[in-house]
Order: sequence, then structure tokens, then C-alpha cells
Amino acid sequence: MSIRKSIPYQDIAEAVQSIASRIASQHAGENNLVLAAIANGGLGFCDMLAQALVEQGGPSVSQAVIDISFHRDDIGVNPIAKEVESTQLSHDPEESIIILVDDVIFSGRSIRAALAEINAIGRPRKIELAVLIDRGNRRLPIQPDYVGIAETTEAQEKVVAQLDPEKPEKSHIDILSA
Amino acid sequence: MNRTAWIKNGRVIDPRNKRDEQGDLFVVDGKIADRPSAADLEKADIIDANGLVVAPGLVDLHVHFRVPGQTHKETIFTGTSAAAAGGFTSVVCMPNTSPPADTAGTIQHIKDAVEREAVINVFPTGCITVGMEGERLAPTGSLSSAGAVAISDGGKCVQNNGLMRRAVEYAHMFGIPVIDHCEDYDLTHGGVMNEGIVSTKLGLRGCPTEAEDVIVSRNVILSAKTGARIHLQHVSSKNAIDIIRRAKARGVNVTAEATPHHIAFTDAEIESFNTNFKMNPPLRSEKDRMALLEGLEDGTIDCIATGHAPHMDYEKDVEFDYAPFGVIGLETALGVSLGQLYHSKRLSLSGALSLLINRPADVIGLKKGGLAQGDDADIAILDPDFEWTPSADGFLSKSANSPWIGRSLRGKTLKTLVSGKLVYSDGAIQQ
Amino acid sequence: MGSSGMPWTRKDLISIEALSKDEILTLFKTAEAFKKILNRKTAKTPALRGKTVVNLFFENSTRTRVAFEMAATKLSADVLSLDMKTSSTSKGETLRDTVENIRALAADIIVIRHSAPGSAAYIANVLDIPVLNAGDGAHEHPTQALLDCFTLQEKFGSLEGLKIAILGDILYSRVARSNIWAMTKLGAEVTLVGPATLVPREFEELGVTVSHDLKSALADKDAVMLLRIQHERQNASAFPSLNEYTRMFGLNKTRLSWLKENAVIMHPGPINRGVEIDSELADSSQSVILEQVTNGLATRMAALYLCSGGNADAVAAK
Repeated sequence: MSIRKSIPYQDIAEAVQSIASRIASQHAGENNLVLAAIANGGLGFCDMLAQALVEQGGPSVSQAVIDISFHRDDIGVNPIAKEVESTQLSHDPEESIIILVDDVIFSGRSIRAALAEINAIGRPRKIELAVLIDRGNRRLPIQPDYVGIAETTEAQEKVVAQLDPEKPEKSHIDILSA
Repeated sequence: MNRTAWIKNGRVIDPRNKRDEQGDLFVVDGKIADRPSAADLEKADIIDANGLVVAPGLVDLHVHFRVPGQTHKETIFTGTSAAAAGGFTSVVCMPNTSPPADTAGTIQHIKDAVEREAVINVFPTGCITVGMEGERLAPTGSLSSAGAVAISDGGKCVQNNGLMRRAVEYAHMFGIPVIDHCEDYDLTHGGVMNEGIVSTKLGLRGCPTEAEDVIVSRNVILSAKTGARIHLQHVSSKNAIDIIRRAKARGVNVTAEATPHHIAFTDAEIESFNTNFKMNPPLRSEKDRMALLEGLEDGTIDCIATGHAPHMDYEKDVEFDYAPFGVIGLETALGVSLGQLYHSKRLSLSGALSLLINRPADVIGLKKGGLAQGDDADIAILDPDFEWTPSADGFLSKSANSPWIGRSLRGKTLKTLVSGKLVYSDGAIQQ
Repeated sequence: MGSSGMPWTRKDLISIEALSKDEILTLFKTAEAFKKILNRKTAKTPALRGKTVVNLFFENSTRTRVAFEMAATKLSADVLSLDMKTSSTSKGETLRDTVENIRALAADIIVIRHSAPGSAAYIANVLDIPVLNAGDGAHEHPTQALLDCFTLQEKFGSLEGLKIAILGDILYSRVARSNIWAMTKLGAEVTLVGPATLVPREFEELGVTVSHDLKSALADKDAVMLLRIQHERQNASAFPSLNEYTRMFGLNKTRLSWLKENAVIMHPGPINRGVEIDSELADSSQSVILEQVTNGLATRMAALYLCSGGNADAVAAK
């Protein structure tokens, strides 16, 4: 596969700041906000987002990790790709507003699994979704509340977000075609 | 069928008569003839042995032909066919049949089957004890008169030392050897493989070498006392070999054999749980295997014997604990033995072959295993360098329980003659 | 190691001997995740929904069978337990015939317990579906060792350098063998102790110390694992009586004091109170016997889940 398009760091940084400010205005004064990264793709983006919220003086957030390994619908068909990260979410999310955070949204199945995982723990006040890049090709009726970058892609293409919270300048998103 | 043959251009190896040279071998009316007449040569079948070894037919002191009673595993025909394919022209079959050969009648039954179906020479043995139960002596004299060349309790061992002493003294009167499978049952109780690090890892019950050593000692002592010949089957333990060496040095009348599988494999093979490595006595450690090879080299072990034990695939294809002991060996013995003893440069070709030909014949006192004038023309024409790999469906034996399937061997018999008649050639029995 | 960097790519769990340290640690990590889920209000996960687990138990074992049933259920799999009692001789349906019947069941995962060493491997070689060994004769009992070592990891953080004594009938114990492999792979120092007839020297070749002297063997240990001692026909001549065993090797308060101060007592169960362990010790605060049972659920869930993932390279090749 070769790189059809590469989205540079400047665009990513702008997108992150934009999402952060929209979240801040949407949830001004809120004190039960949780940024829940979907493991593993959402982890880097979630850190960047939390950082941006702090820089903008937005509402304080706590961070969580949602591992969706056990909600996959293709066990035995596709191999287990990674070790489980173990969901870390406070036991009682009843009063929280959870913003699910993921780097790429594609078919929507990961989001469905994340919703199932949260549902198994409790019922938050509200769940929203923030994605860095929406590449289209949805297979479920799931749409993000906050989108950083929108790109049209073919289903067989791969979108890989390389985010480096330590050295953010090195971050980029590649769109690969066969 | 023509029993006159002219075997040309072979390397004639006759270890008993110290012959190893290029030349022709002549057979007239089923006997070796040094000086055939022109008329004989006219009617002789010509066999070209160029590039091949021409040797006396191999002799196996230890096969299980399952007749009477277990012909689903092997018949006299299939068993002797397998023997011929391996270059064997004389075999001694064990009496652990159904019913066991503890009466003259059963010996006769076996001889009748041999008469009808056998492709090579088969010599029966009778039981030491009635039913091989180790409690009462079988009629050794009658068995001997009926044609038994030795007595043995097959895969079993008389545990009662007093009874064994009497059996040995009694057999001595008839001039026939007692052949013993040396195993103390209390020491092997429940064991399915050698007791050692492998059995410890696998959680399988082990048979310690002491079980064999203890009975070998017993037999040495009884032989020393009575002067009787006791032949020790499938020796596998280093300690037992040391005991036999010291006994022979004192002149005790014992002989011993080793199987091809014991000189080629160790118990490490069992990590695969493959039941084609399950035999009794079991495959032992590398130390024991080396001691066996040294014993064959220095004469402590007199000969090689296969212990050919056919079992059906469904009998062996079970959990390791439940599978019957034993593997076939007639068709692979030559390749395995040459590999371990000749190609490895331990012995000369003649030395290695003697362990399969004249030495076993001498143990039992058979007038076989030589190519001197007037000897029976039992001949194996073989290629000691022929590389081949046994396959499950390639055996002439009715059973295929061989540990050699898929493993390459070097050395094979190409033609076999019995009393001058060509019985095996081109991979098939000649009718 | 899978091409994706995931250590666990095997479809079968037959022995600890075959596992790498990374695979064991991956299983522990997965078990931790499942343990968390077991503490939730809805203590269940859909990880194996739609799959059918079949327990083939040729040897009686209510405890292990129930543990696997529970693990499968917690994973939302359907589970079927078949009682395959055969006599201890070779009569009756053999494994080979059983295999064909298993195929017909259309199971997704098999858990097998059998009295013959090598039987789990036999079935795993013939079937395409995952096979988990719940005990094959005296050979191995992988999930037991995994839950035992997981428990130790919970207690001590890591098994690296941990001093552990395994006390009792080692010779006939699959629990001992699997634990010897697991503990040594994870870096623990293992001492086997018991009567000479039940703890042969050969075990030293596996990298453990063998001792027949209880005092020196227990000295300074972080943990002692007790094995159930039975006086059955199979080892009737190995020691004179249970009474003698208890007097010479049973764990009592005095002997416990030879270990480190906060050492833990482990036992795979079921316990023979008053035989291998004093009754009061079984309930002492140093005993982790109940935690072992609890951890048995999470570790077995992890084993079922990871083996269902399939061999990454084989699946990729499809």
C-alpha cells in the first residue's frame, strides 16, 4: 500500500484545538466531564484533547480508558490483535457526562462496542463522541458530536493516525491505498 | 520351481566362513555348490548381482506371528512375506499365541500353517509354563519332540525363581535353550515407558532398568549353576549388559540379543506420545543405547533380533497408557542395523551382517547362516547403500506399527532366495 | 509471537511446558481485566457470545467442571458438560472414536479432562477447534498452575526471585508439574519436598531443588503449595499410611513458622483437613486457598478467550 495523502501536524493541532473549544463551550461550567479514550487508538488523541482543554481554561475533566476487546463481534474469525488494556472507568458513572474519544471513526462498530462496555458498567447522564478524523463509510447509524477533520475515503483504503503526545510535531495521519 | 541358480558378479559376504570377495555364487537343487556342472549351469536361473552384496539369508530369533488365534494382526503368509522382504530366510516365532504353544498339538498346528503358507523357514518355540502363567511347567520334552527349537514364555517372564530353576534344568536335558524376556513385574508395575527424566516430565509411569537387571542376574546365576543355555531377549539396560559381560568372562552359558529399535532410539521419542515408540522393554536413555552398541561391538550381545510384534492400527491408535507394547521390524531391521553399526563405521560390513546372520543361527544351533558347500541356499541379495523411507502402506506385514514411518534408512534387501528358490524380488513375493 | 506483536496466538492450551513467559503474562493481564468485570454489577461479558463450549470430562471432577462451566457462562458462551466415564482399562469407546462424535456436536471449544497423559494433545492435533487441557493423567493441569501463579502475582507483584516450596506427592501430580513449569518460567526459585518415594531426584533436571528434609526445605520460603495426599492403590506402597505422612510432612503451626513471616499457604483443593494441613491453618489469614478458587474463574475465562482468538497467522492466511 502507498500513501495517497498525508495530513500534517498543523492540521491536526488545529483540529484538536477546535474540538476542545467546542467541548468547552458546549459544557461550560460542567464538573462531571469524563474524556473516555477507546483503547488503543483513542489514547494519544485523548491526551492531546485533555491538554488542549487545560490550555484553553475549559472545564476540568477526568480521563478514562474503554477497552472494547470483549465486545468484538468477530472472535475466532479475525485474530485477537492486541492485549486487553482493561477498562478504567469509575464504578458509578451515573452523574457523569462521558465523551468517548477515538482517533478514527470508520464503520462505527468500535463505537457500538464502547457503548456496550459503558452500558455494562452503568448509565451515565449523557454520552457524546469526539473523533479526530471521520473517514466516512459508516455501517451503523452512529455519528460523532465533534469532528476534527472530515475526509472521503474508499472502504478498502487504510487510515492510520500516528500521534505522538511526547513530540507532537511528529504527528501525522496517513491515508493508504493499494 | 527351479532351485538352481547362478548369482553373478556380486560381493559375496559369508561372515561365518570368513568370505568377503567379488565373485559368483552357485546354487544346485537348493544347496550351495562350489563346482556346478555344465548341465547345472544350463538350467540355472541367472541373477545379476552387480554392485550388490550376496549374503546368507538373515536369521531372526524373535518374531511374533500371531498364529494361532490373532490372525487379524499377522498370518504366517504375511509374516514370512515381511521377513523375506527384509532379507530374512529363517525366523524363530514366539509361543504367545491364542492358545499359547504349550502343547505338542499347538506346535503341530503352527507347523501345518507354516507348511501351507510360509514363504521362508519358520522355527516354532514352545512355552516354558502352561498358559504362560508362570505356575506349572509345560511339557518341554513333548514340545521339543514336536519341533520346538527352544522354550520361552513369549512376552512374559517367570517370576517364581524356584520354578525357573526347574524349567532351566529340565530344558537342559533336551539340549534346547530357554529364551527369557527379563522383567520383574513388581518393579515395572503399571509402567509404560522407561523410568527417567522423560517419564518424570510426561507424568507417565516408568519401568526402571532394575526390573531387567534383577532378572538378568537371576538368569546368569541359574545358568552358572545348571550349565543350561539361557538366551536373554531384547537387552536394553547398561547395567544388564555389564552383568552379561562379566558372566561371559566367567564362562557362563548365556547369550543375548538386542533389537534394532533399542540401538536406534531413546525414550526422548516418547515426548510425542506416539505409540509406535511403546515397547517392552521400553526405549531407554542414551547411556543405555550406547552401551548396547558397545556390547554388539565387543560380542557381549551376540546378535540382533527384531521382536517383530504386529498390532492393528486401531489397537495402537489409542492413549499411550492403553496401547499394546510392540512394533514390527522385519522389513526395516537391515537398514537400521547397517545405519547404526556399518555406516557409522563401528563395524565392517561383514561384522555388522554377522549380527543378523550367523551369530543368531549359532545361538539357537540352527544349521543356517552360511554359504559353504552343501549349505541350504538361503540367500539375501542386498544393497547396503540403498536409501529409502518406509511408509504406512508400504509394508508386506499385515500391520504397520513401525517407528520408522517417514524416517529414512540406508540399506535394503532386493532379492531373497530360500533353498535356491527366488521368493522375493522387485518389492513383491514371487509365487 | 504473532506478527501483530500479540504474544498469544495459539488455539490450544495443552501444557505450560509449551508456553513462553510472555504468553503467561498476557494471560494474566487478560485475567485481570476479566476479574474487574466480575466485580461489576453486571458481572458478565459478551466476549464469547454465540460460541458453544463443550466440557468432556473422562475423569470425575465436579470442581473443575463447574469452574469451566461458570467461566464459559460469564463469557456469554453456551456450555455443555458431557460425563464421559470410561473404565480405567482400554475397553469402551476410545479417544479416537470419541473424536468423531465431538465433530458431530459442532462445538466451538473443547475442554477435556482425561486420565491418560497425552490425551489432550491427541484431541488437539485432530480437531481444528480450540482444545483446553483440564488435566491429562499425571502430565499437566495448565489452568490450575495459571490460577496459582496469578494468585502469587497478585500477592507479591511478581514471581521473579520468589521462593516457593511445593510439598507432597509430586510424582503423581499434574498440578505439581504444571506449576513447576510456570513458576520456573516466571523466575521463581522452586523447592520440591516430600517423601523420597513421592519426590524423585529426576525433577532436578527441570531446574528445581529436590529435598526430603522438611525443615530446610521450608526455611525462608515466601509460599508453600500443599498437594493433596491420597493413599490409593496406585501409590499404596509409596508411604506406609496417612498418619505417618501427616506426622512427617503435614503442615502445622510449628512448621509454618519456618517460612517467612507473611508467607502464603496454597492448595489446589480439595483439602484433606488434618492430613496435609492442620485444620486451623486452612482457615488462617495466611491461606490464599479461597483466592485461588476466585482467581480460577478469571484465569479460565482468559484461557477460553485467548484460545478462541485463533492462530493469527493461520487466520490471516485464510
